[in-house]
Parts: sequence; structure tokens; C-alpha cells
Amino acid sequence: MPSSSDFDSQRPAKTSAMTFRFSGLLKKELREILRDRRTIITLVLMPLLVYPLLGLLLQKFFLNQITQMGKVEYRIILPNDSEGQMLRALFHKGDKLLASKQKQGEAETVKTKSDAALATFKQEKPVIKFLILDQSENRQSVAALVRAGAVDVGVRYIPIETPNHDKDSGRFDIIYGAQSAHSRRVAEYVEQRLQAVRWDYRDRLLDELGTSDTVPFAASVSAVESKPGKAFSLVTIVPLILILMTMTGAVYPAIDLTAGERERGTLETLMAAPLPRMWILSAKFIAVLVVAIMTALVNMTAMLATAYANGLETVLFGEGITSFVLLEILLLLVIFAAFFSAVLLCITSFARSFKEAQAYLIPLMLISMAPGILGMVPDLKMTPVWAVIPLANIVLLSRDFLLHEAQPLLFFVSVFSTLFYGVVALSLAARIFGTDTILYQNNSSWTDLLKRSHQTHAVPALNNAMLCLAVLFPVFILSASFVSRLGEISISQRLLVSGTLTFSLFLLIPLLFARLGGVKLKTGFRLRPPRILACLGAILLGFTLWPFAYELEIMVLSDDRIESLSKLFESLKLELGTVPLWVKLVSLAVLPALCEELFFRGYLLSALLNRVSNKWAILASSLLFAVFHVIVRDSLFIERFFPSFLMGLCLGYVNVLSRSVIPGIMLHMIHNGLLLTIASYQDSFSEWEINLANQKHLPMVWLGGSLLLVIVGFFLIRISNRSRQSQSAGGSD
Amino acid sequence: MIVVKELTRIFEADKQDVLAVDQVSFEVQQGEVYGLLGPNGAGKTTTLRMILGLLQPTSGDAEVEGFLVSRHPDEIKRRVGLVSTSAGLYQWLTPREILSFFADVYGVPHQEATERIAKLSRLFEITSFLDRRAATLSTGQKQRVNLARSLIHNPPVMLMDEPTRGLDVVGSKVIFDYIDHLRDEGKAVIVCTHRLDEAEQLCDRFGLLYNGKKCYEGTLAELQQCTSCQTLTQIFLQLLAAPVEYQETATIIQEKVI
Repeated sequence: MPSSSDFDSQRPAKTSAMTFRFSGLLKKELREILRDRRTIITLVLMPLLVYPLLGLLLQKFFLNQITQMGKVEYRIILPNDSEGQMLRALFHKGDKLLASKQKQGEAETVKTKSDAALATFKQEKPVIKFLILDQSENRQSVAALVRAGAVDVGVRYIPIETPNHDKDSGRFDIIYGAQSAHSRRVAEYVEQRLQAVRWDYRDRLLDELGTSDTVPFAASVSAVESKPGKAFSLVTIVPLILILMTMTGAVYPAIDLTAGERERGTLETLMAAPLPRMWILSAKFIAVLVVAIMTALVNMTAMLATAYANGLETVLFGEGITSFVLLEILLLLVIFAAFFSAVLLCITSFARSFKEAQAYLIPLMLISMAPGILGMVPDLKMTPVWAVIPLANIVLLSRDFLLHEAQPLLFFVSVFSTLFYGVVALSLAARIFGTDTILYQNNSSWTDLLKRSHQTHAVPALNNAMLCLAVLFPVFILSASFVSRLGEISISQRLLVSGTLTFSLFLLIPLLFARLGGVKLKTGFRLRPPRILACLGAILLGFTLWPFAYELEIMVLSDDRIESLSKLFESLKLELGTVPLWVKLVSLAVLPALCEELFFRGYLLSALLNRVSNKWAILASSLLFAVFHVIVRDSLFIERFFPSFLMGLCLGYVNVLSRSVIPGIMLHMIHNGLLLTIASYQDSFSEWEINLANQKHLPMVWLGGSLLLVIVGFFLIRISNRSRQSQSAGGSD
Repeated sequence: MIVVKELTRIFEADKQDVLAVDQVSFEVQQGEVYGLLGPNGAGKTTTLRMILGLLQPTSGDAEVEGFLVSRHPDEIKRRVGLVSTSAGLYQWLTPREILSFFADVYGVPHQEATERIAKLSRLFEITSFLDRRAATLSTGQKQRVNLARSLIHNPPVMLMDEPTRGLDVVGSKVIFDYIDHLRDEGKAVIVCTHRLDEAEQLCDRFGLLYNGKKCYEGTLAELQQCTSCQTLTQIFLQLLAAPVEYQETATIIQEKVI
């Protein structure tokens, strides 16, 4: 019989073995789900049946809407009255010519794709409004008004030099908004009328056997980038369709790979294998994601084919189905599919049978419809708060993305937070999937998640810490907004209320999670008493790190940003001036230092250190710490990212070196306190020109001196760590 | 090889605590087949699941090859093979794919896995349907695939939960041969069953569980010596008729054995 050490030595190299085992797991999940006929039915048959029907319904709905709307208005703007009169005369002439041709029973010669879907427009004549630009405005404004969506098209007349000077000739420029299908339709409508007049003129010329060779005018159509009209745009339905598509694809595999596994009796053998639960869930997640994306792709193909066949593509996507639009939708599909795959897996992990899983998913499907409708709410703007609300963020993001209005920063915040929620959902699923309550008992419920662990743990589990962060994050943002609404109280009181509230949240929520997870407070929050040398080093760093944070902020801030920030904070600055320094120190230095350190470098870092190397743990905690500082109530202060990240790295390093949260608290407190004191006595420091608004760099001597002291500070903490190690080694000997 | 130390498990049912396993302790040596016997609901399967780390014990611990399940659950799982009647197969996969999948997750190198699949296929006579979809196999065929699956990583310890349930005579014979094979290979085996006649043929030693407590432990000869009964079934019926009295007898027997 081999001994345990022999057994260990037989195993292949750790990393390659891990990849090997995970790929085996993933292969099995994909094989199992993709061979299942029910997956194929959802994947292929559903779209084949649903979309042609949906296309017909949509067309009927659209036509019905048009009939109900009554007269459609076409607004055409011209630069001046004379051009207006000329166009109006030609337009009416063209209109009559087309009408007479129709009366003669001729098929309309000019037919466009978008008109095919809107056949009723030919019956219902639109109301044409010719508008004349204010004389004080210049010609460029015609395009500007189209761009702004104030009118449907703009028309300009440009005279052309002709060989026969006795005859006038020119070109009509018809300008329409590229993002508006309606605008394009109006342009086509005008162009058709002008063309009719031209052809009529040519016909008559031919009749007269070429007595003249000058055509009186030409017409050209050009597009300008335009704001979509405030009217209801069908593109806003797309997020809802994306929700339906990806959810339809993810539901069956999510249930089958979790509850189905238990029902078939394969879960026990899987859980008896030496596999981390997060691996099992990750492999299942990838399998569900693949099916969700495949289903969505088949759906999308069917949908676009239906839209194209019914002539609805310009109605849906303005410029029609271009490869760019396809890419955009594909990207959004992946985001939606990833989100739903994680959330559905999380929910179905609680279920022990197909039936139970279906019962859990129905409320989710209904709830998901609500944010889907958000995209259709007019004037609902994407804000940083919306950007962190699950599902609502990607719905608004999709709408803005397809309307080409997405702000890059909010785009990344939405994507990042969605990924974060996905990871949290998977962590939750890993916490519950395959546990004895799911494997063997019949009476477990959601409350099991909140049951206190029977065993005590020295450090929190990573999913516990992440769940804590997921709860803390929105509650913190909400509480900040709540404090801002307290208009009646003075700024000092507000600062104290805000500080106390933040402190309570950062203390109470992690404490609650520590209790649920059976985490020992001393080790879970890294409350070990530090060495004196470590404290001295931290104090020194507290006094000497600020110049680097200051320099980093100067590097990040642009002139424009400083101007907008100074405008934003002008009133606040005046108000803050009246606040006693001690209030500022307590609310902005002492309390934040205590609570942020206890959570980020206490609870979160100890969970991270237990799972990954020191380097990655510090990096991850610093990143989350910096993101937390960027989002302030309903706005984003991206310039706070880099200094906060730098501080996070230093504080994390100090924490790991000293193995205690206490030196970090001292460092953080002194650092914040010092910056506040400098700001309070800014006038006294003016001769040294320490002012962010001036963007003046600090003297090199200051930076050099600070760097030296920072090195000394870290050195002291390192020495303290060594002496602790040698002492503990001596003790064990 | 296997040391079970005062394992206890309390379940919550209808807001009441139910003692499913009550301080059960025993040891199983290399090459020994240990029968964990008892009526339905005695706590046999719960004990087995706690040894493997699938159920968290309320108190107590189990040790396999020097590894404690409370501290190194993955090390235990690496060293244990599980055969359970409730275990199903992935219906859309073939036996070959299933065996290959479990070889992957237990970290068996590819070449070794191929050789073991070939060897186990011959041993359990599954070669003819190795590439057929699992959903199309009969109960006996599925059971044989499951036996092969449990040995794919060549574990030193085997846990078997009601291995013959639902099997006909031929199927049961396969299990008997399998257990003999495990004994010959020097593995430590725990068999949970309520089929006492089978247990008599299969096991070297027995532990009798009743209402979560271990009432008796020893070989068949030791039991026959201390009771007037000849078979395990007779002993068990006596135990059910007078549990309290029997428990006392059992304790005396245990003392004698020690």
C-alpha cells in the first residue's frame, strides 16, 4: 500500500494537472449539454417558429400604430424664403406628377426598402411643413438643426454655373439624420418628388428634340450625424429582446446541469471527486454560457432575417443591418449571456429537482422583464448609480450603445460591475451547490445561506467576503445619497452623520458576515497586536506618502477637469471652510481610516490572502479599494482612482508585512488627517504653492526627502516582521 | 488505514434535532472488508458520507491513511472510491467517456487512464457496450460501469453503499467477485448493507448499527460465541426485539473482544 507521500509524488506537476482536470470537467459539461435533444430543440426549433410569427406581429403592430397616429408630419427646413418658395413649387409639381402617374395605374417607379414595410404611408399622405431658417442664422445651421433632431430634413439650393448663362441651374442638397429612419424616409420622399420633376423635364426635352441641354436643377442626398428623435425608437426594444434571447438559452442548461445532476444521481459521485466546488461551477458556467450564446446567435440570425424579410431593419437599426451593428449586438449578447448564466446557475444551485428549479426561475424571469422595459423609458439617462444596478445597467448600456450615446466610462463601469455580480453569483452558487443540504436533504432553502456556520474559521471564505462587498457596495452608495438629502442640518453635522453612518456600515455588515461564516474576529479582521517598530514605520509613512499621492493626482487631472471640479466644489469649499478642523479630522480621517482598513485590509484581505499569493491579494484589494473611491454618490471621480490605488498598495503591503491591520489604520489616519490639515491651512501654505488648482509640482528636494523616509518606513516594518518571525521560530524550537 | 473517531451527526427535521449517528467509532485495516450493518435508518449511509466528507459531522472525525477529513477533505477524496446504488450515470455520455472523465478529475495521466479503462472493461465485462450511450444500458450494465468508475483512480480505500440493491443473482455475483478482487488487491473496504446473508459471505468483520449507535462489533465467530444465535439475521432480530438489553450485551461482548 503506498504511503501518503508516495501518493503525492505520483501526481503530475500541479499547474498542468489543474488545467488537465478542469478541461476534463469542461469537456464533460459541454458534451452532456450539447448532446441533449432538449437543448437542440430550444436552440433551433424555437427561433425558427417564434421569429417569423413575431415579425408578422411586429409589422401588424407597427402598421396599426401608424394608422392610430393619424397624419404623419414631415418637417423640412430651408435657409431662406426664396429657396423655400422654389422647393415648395417643385415639390408640389412633383407630387402632382407622381399622383397622376399612380392614377394612370402605373406602378410607382421609385420604391425604397423602408417604404415596403410602411405601405400605408402611400395611402396616408403626410403633412408637409416647410420651415424657413431665421435670417440671422447662417447656412450651416440647416445641418445643425437636422443633427439636433429639431427638423427631419434640411434642403439647401446651390446654384451651378452652366454653359448656357441664360438658363438657371442648381443642385438641391437634401440633408437627413443618419441615425433616424424617419429622417431618411422624409429625405427619400422629397427626393422622389424632385426626381419626378426632373424626369418630367427630360421627357419634355426629348419631345422637343433637344432644344435645350441644361437641366434646371439636380438633387443630391447627404446624411449628417444626428441625435435620434425623442420619439419612441424601436431600438429601445432590443435590450428586452436580448434578455429574452439569452435567458431562453440559459434556462434549460442551468437547470439540467445543477438540479438535473442531482435528479439523475450523478451529483454525489461528482462531489466525491477531489474538485473545488468553484471549478465545478465554473465549468458549468462556461457550458451554460456557450449554450446561451449559441441560442442567442440562432435567435439573432432568425430575428435579423425576419426583420430583413419584412423590411423592418431600418426601422429597428436606423442605417440598417451593417457589420458594425452585428458586432455591437454580439458584444451585448455576450454580456447578457454571461450575466444570466451566472445568475441562473446561482438560483438553480439551490434546487434539488427540475420542478423546484423551474419554480425558482419563474419569479426571476418576471423580475428581469422590468429592467428590460427601462430601456424604453424616454429621457432615462444612464448615471453612475444606474451603472452599478444589476441588469438595469446593461439594459441602459445596450440602449445607449445602439443609439451611439454610450459614455466610455459608464460603459466600463457597467461591464465591470456586471462581471463582478456574475462572480458573486457564481461564488454564492459554489457555496451552496453540492452541500449536504442540497445533496441529501429535502428541506433546505435560501435561508441556508444566512445560517450561521457550525464551525469556526480563522479567516473568512472568499465568497463570504465577496458577498459582503456586494452588499456593502450598494448600501454605501444609497446611504451617501440619503445623507445628501438631509438639507436641514449644518455641514458639520452632515459630515459627522455621514462619517458615523459609513463607519457603522463598514463595521456592522462585515461583522454580520463574520458571524454568519463563523469567522474569528481577531484573525478574520487581522486585529493582531503589532510590533512597536511596525507602528513607528507606519506613522512615518503616514507623514511621508502624501507628496506621491499629490503628484499622481496632478498627473491625472486635466485643466478642464480642474475647472469643472472647482466649479462643482466651489460652494462646498466655502461651506467646508466653516467646519472646525476636529470635525473634519473625525469624519474624514479617523472614521474612514478605521472602517476602510477593517474591511479592505482586514476582512477582505484576509480572505484573499487565504486563497491567492500576497502579491495578488494586495493588488485585488487595492483595485476594489480604488473603485470604491471613484464612485461618489451619483458621479464618478476617476482622478481619485490612481492615488487611492497607490494608497491601497502601500496599505496592503504594510498590512501583509506587519500581519496586522493596526499599523495601516495609523498610516491611513495620519495620511488623511495631514491632507485635511494642509487643505485647512492652505493660505499659510500658499508660499509653498501646495495647491492642486495650480498644478504645480512639489520641489524635487521634497520628493527626494519623502522617498527616503518612505523607504525607512517600509524598512522599519520589515525589520519588525523579521524580529517577529525569529522570535516565533525561537519559541517553537 | 481507516479510523473513525466518535462520529456524530444531528439533523434538523421539522425544527427538531434528530440524532442520526451517535459517537460511532471503528477501524478498518488494509485488505479487510468491514460490514456496516443495520436496518433502514440506522445511520450506515450517513456514517459513510461523513467518512468521505460529503456530510459534515456535528462532532468527531474520520481519518484515511493519516489524513483527517475535517482538515484535508480533498486528500481523503483522492484516496477513496465510492460505490452507491443511488449513483447514476451521465445519460448522454458513453461508458468510455464517463470513465475517461473521472480519470481526468482524479488527475490520472492520459496513458495510464487508457490502460486502466481497458483493464477495468475486461474485468467487469463492459467492453461490448463501452461506446454506447449510458441511457440505453440495463441496470446491471450501469452497475458494472459504476464499479469500474469507482476504481478508475486505483484508490486504496473503497466505500460501498448497498452495492447489491436492485440487482439479480448474476448482478450480485459480480459484486461479490468485485469485493473479493478488492480484498486481494489489499484495499480497505467498508460495505453498508441490510442484506445480512450477503454480509456473512462478504465481510471479515461487522459493526452493527441501531438507531445511530454502534451496538456490536466483531467477527461472526465472536458473535456466535457470545450469543446463542448462529446467523447474523437471528442476531439482528434479537437486537430489534430487545434493543436496550441487547445493547448491554453488545457492550460486554465488545469488552471481551478488546
